[in-house]
Amino acid sequence: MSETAAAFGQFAVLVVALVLVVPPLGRFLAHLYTSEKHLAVERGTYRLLRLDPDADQHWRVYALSVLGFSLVGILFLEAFGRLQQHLPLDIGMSALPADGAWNTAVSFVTNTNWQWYSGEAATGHLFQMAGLAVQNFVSAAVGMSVAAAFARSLARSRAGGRVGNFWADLVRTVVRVLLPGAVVGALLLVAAGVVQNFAAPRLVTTLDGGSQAITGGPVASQEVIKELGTNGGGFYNANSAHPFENPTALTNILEIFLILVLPFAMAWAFGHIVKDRRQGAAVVSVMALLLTTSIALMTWAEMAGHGTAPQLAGGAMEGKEVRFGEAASALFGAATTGTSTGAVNAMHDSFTAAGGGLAMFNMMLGEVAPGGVGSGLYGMLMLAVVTVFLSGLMVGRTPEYLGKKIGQREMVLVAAYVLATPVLVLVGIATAITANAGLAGLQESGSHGLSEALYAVTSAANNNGSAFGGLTSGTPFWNTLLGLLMLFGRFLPLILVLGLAGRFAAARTLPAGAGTLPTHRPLFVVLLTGVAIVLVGLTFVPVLALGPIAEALL
Amino acid sequence: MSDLLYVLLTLASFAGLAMLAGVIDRYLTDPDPEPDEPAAATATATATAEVTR
Repeated sequence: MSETAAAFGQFAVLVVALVLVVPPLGRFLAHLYTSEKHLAVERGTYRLLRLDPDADQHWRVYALSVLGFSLVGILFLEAFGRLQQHLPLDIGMSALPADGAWNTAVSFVTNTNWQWYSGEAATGHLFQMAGLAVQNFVSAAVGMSVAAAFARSLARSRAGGRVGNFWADLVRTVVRVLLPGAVVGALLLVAAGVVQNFAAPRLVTTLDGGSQAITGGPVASQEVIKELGTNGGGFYNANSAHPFENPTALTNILEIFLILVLPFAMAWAFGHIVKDRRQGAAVVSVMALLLTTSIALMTWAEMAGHGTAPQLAGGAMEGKEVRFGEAASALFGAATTGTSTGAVNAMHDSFTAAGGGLAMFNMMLGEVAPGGVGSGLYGMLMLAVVTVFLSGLMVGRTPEYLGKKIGQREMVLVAAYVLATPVLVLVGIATAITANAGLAGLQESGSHGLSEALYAVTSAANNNGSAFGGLTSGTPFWNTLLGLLMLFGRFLPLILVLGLAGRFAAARTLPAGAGTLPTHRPLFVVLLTGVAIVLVGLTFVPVLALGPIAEALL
Repeated sequence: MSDLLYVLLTLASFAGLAMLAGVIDRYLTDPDPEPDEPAAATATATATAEVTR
């Protein structure tokens, strides 16, 4: 089979699988986030933790619950990393350094999963399972909970700023969605060849007589939630390029499916929650349009064989796994940066300049195509508010979205949301390239060196977590800078989203009138796509011009 | 020592975020100083009314 046929074939398989699974899963999620009934295991959890799952929380209480839960998670995980050598299943690993433990804690609690370390050389099994994997579940559940709260707020009228109960959303998401999904997915991965054991590193003699330590471990169980929760942190340093994490083309397409299924399903659930399925379909359409465009462009960039070396070698295979090839690497690359996953099955540093630039552009769009579990939906809904506002200005109508009037205060929150991440990225890159400690981490100089640093700060501030490669980030400077970017890149937008949710929940829902812009029609899909690209993406054109664009043209 | 610094950094960051939530809440609950009608919408509506008249 030719590589082109394989590219179309795997894309077709992915689309069919998503079309079959997303609608029923979306309906299930909508029911989950609107039902008042609790399962027995959930009631037991609430009793144990002394929580009232039926309290309808004001948005501020909801936000403080998110912050408090995440703060405890960071402090716990940081201590865990510092003390792992004293705990069981440490397999001989020593304590993480203070800056590294903090960076790792922030990274996994913020659903970023940026990894400055090599998993197989720095972390024991217990830390991976009871520390990192737990945060893979709950950080994903936090994002989904906030998105559900935002969707519910649009379906409420004069609810006094109350958006639901964070603890109920969190526990339900873990118990009813992520845990069952992870069990099924892990079994599928194990069946397809991903390793799952508690083995200590095994020393083997290589063909040339050298010695190599082969690390096994609970890989499949971490691999599945890494993808399903759009987390991205690999058990191994090579992430999904490692044959123990992603051994075949079948596991590769399964992992890409796991990355995309929940973000799309959340958008579909949105339509059910606001009781207008067309709204969910419109959001899914915009996400699919952006993602498909990204996949097509990235696949073309990697397969076109630009440059002397790829032409002589018959393909741009540097940094890619032979068992996947260019198309499957590009598809994975587009999926992982279109969402907030950050897992990689190839080294993005070795992508063509255009391919690497597209990966960065995906993240710069705010990861809304389809975005992280939860963060993709609320990011897209914030852009939808911008779109109805701009459209309202163009035709002279008071803008409204799903019956909620968009006034000055709503737009202040949305503007702050849109600006927050770009400010973090641009301040971050400015800091990195003006500090000696920042420059010391770069492997390359010139445009490619800038791309290495730009990719890192973009990945951190957007909570993606994928690494371009080439950057030595395990230093106090980079660990602290990227940790701060991850922390504020997660929680600053999240607070603004919940603030707007409270505002919407408190407002009266107006009936649609003759001047209401329909937000389910193709015209709105096109407008929203344009706003996502122009408003957010173009913010970064100057710095992209100095990095990947300059490199592509030179 | 480094551990304490990172713990303090974390606490300070979350305290700042919690304060931001409070500031936003106050901003949203203060009485509206002016109608939420966008300037352009008001201007267009006025112009349309004049043409109609």
